[in-house]
Amino acid sequence: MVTADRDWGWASEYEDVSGEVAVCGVGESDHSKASGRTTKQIVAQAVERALADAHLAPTDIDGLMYVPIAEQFDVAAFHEHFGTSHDIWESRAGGGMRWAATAPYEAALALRDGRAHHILNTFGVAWATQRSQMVGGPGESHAQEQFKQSLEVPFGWFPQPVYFATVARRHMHEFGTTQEQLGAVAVACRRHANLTPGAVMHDRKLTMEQYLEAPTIVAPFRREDCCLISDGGGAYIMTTPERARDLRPELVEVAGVGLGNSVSGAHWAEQPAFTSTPQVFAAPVAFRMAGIAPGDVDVYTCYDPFTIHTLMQIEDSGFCEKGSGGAFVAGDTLHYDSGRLPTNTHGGLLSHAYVLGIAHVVEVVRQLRGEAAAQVPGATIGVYGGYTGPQAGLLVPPGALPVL
Amino acid sequence: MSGQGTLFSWVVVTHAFLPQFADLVPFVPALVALEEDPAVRVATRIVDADPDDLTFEMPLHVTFRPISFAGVAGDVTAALFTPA
Repeated sequence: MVTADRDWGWASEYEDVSGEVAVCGVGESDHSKASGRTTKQIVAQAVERALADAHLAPTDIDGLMYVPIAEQFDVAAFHEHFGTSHDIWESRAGGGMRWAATAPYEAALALRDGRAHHILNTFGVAWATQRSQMVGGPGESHAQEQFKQSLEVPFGWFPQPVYFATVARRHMHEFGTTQEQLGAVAVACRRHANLTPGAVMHDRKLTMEQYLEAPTIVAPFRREDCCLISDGGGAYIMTTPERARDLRPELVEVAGVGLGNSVSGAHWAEQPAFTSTPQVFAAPVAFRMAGIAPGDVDVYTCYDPFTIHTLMQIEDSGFCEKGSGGAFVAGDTLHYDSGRLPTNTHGGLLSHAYVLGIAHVVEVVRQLRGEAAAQVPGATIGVYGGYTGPQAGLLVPPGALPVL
Repeated sequence: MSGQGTLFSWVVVTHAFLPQFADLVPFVPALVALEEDPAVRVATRIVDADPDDLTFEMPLHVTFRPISFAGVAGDVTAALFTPA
């Protein structure tokens, strides 16, 4: 097997930005099934809440980050919503997924040379609304890719649930991962969502028995192995630690960021290390920059479109040996009150909301402030792992340090 | 090309994610490692096999079949695979 080899990708060269950026405000929109709202309306609600959380006015925001897909909240949308017209530094290296992890890196560089002072990163989707109208959605970008259109889609190797059920089955074969171990990821996320008032699946319980009895939709995946499709968004505001201390009583600094890349991009069929993620490359960079080891982490969130992604990122980020992720996640390891590796404590993409990772960063910040719904007792070091497929970013915000 | 390969991984689709595939369900999309270079995995479908009988690395050979889609006129010939 080639999974042990490291020749299938690389880590991006990152300068050390440890301690140069802090998250001073977080906000989420309401999360729901089809809401009838546009992406921009959804994100605007999250931004208003992040501003209130940071005790900042719209005119204080002089940096805005987003990813240029799906009608995101750009500078024009910001000004239109808030009735402002001031200069705003704009970066398209923000948003959700891996960018929710690496936006603080770009922000640190912008803060360093004074391009901006309070930088907002946002992401949102209206995919539940769009799906009900049979447009857009998560499969669209893959369906439009010419290689996939010709060589994968016609055979039915499409869309994402099919790709990653194929990965999961291979992982089961190579490492002995079981259906129950995938189920442990789903059950932990659901329990956290049941404790989190804003979660889409807040009122829906899931036991291991129910998971195992559910029919497969793309074997070995059940519906419960797959993320939600929902409308929602999130936002967080970054500034220097010095300014952050003036805004809020707790300081959540970014200690480390890493970015890993796969040579095969989003063509998973050809990824040499089929059952790995580029966290293999991102994690060492982020942990080295942060000066901590995976074993120091109190709370972990990771981009979890499917149960197998949580398991693989846990392995690839060094929380356990490659191949032992199944045994590691079994039982209550991921639960917020287990004391081991509390993971996706808001419910993740599987049970909280499908907002592509931005709410995962919001959750880590809340955990480090001690204000999460499923609070990990005494959490001081958090990590967000942002997987997109071609790339993965790891963000290590190490501390909620109360400033007196 | 010999048309020979081995089964790298597969899934059993029982929910049609695209309406065009509704008539095919259940079906077995798979990745097949080609004999000439197993690092090359082709996305295909396994046909003429009970999904319960499939095993990792089992030998397969190509079979050319017409494929068509609900709501799409005509068909095309595609390289599918079947147990050798």
